[in-house]
Amino acid sequence: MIKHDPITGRYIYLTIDGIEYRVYYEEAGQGIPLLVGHTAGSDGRQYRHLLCDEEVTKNFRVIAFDLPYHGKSLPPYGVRWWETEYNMTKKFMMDFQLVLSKALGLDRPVYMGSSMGGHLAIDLASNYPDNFRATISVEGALRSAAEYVDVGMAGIRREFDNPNVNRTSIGAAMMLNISPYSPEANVREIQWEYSCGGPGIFAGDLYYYYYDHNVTPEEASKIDTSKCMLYFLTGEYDPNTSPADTKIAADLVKGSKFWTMEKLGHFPVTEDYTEFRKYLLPILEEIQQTSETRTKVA
Amino acid sequence: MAINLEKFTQLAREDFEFKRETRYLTGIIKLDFPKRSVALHFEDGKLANVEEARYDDDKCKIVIRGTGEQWEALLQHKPLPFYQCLQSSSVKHGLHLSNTNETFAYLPALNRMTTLMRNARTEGAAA
Repeated sequence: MIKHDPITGRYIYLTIDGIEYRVYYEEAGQGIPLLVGHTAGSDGRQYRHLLCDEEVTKNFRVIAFDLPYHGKSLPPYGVRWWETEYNMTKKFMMDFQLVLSKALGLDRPVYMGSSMGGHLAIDLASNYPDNFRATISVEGALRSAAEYVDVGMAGIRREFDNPNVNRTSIGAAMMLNISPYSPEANVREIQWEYSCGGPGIFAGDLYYYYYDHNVTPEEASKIDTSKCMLYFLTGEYDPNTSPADTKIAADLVKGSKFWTMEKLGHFPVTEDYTEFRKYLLPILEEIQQTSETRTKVA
Repeated sequence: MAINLEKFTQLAREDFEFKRETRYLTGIIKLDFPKRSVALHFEDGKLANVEEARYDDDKCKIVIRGTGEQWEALLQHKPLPFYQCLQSSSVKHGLHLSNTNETFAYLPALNRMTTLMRNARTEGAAA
């Protein structure tokens, strides 16, 4: 008996700011569209457990993409990308979701992202509440922890984009974000994915993660959760966005909901999906019920 | 001190991952405890010698220095947040970790070394 995962993968061409990108995405399930965004320097493989969870895919069409320059989404062909330094921006992160959503014909999808994807969940709820029915910020905050922000891009590149340092070290560095309670096989898988990143891409992603994402308290307090519900999930062992950091954001966003995930770290979706889904499934159920209620009213 | 040095040395010399991840390393990894200092001498990736001796930081490729409380917290098998590794202990709890190229390059080895140190703890011993 041949064993397959219930996942299909395809390439789609997306044009953003006049540049055409060949983007890889995987999907499984049917129902409410759920876009899932990966962490800095990694790719959509992080969601392989979620994509195989029938409790999710029976009601949600889960779409896991590789951002350009990540995973199987190669740098854009015909662009001399090697002549400029790669830096991810808030504008590109947001535009990508809008363009992908439109290209796939998605009706007000749910967006869930982790780490820089978790920060993006806040940016989307703030800037595009009419385009998303809900966003789920996993390991998100108004800003990443000051101890890391203060390092500066030069320090970040010295550690993560340094010709003296093998890319394996990027994977090893992720240990700082991982809970000691996570199964070692999962830890090693996260490190493997990080060791596979393109040159300078992880460091460049951190430009968005540490600097271009910077939500003021005033902006956070204006997020309208009646238009786009915002959920927060943060692992106890995440030093980059600790539960205390996320709580500051959650307290400012009226109507949002926040849970600290015990014994999980910065990569809960991959670190220990069995534990993570205990927090995720009730959220998805609430989104589904809200969507059904709105459909009946309409 | 926090670990049984003899046991740690044996584990380090027998451990596949630690031996692989220290490949080509030449120089000293210095472990500073409150009352003792340990030098791990490497020659082209081989752990040539482990000694209790105090070398100046600038003679070492990688330096790790902690208080008794920091080592105690780091070397728990299930440490409290954010003592899960050397880097998080450094950023969040003030443990000293050098920032040389070798420190970054040999992070996989340092992670493994931390695991071996946890496994080489003398029962009940603190730093």
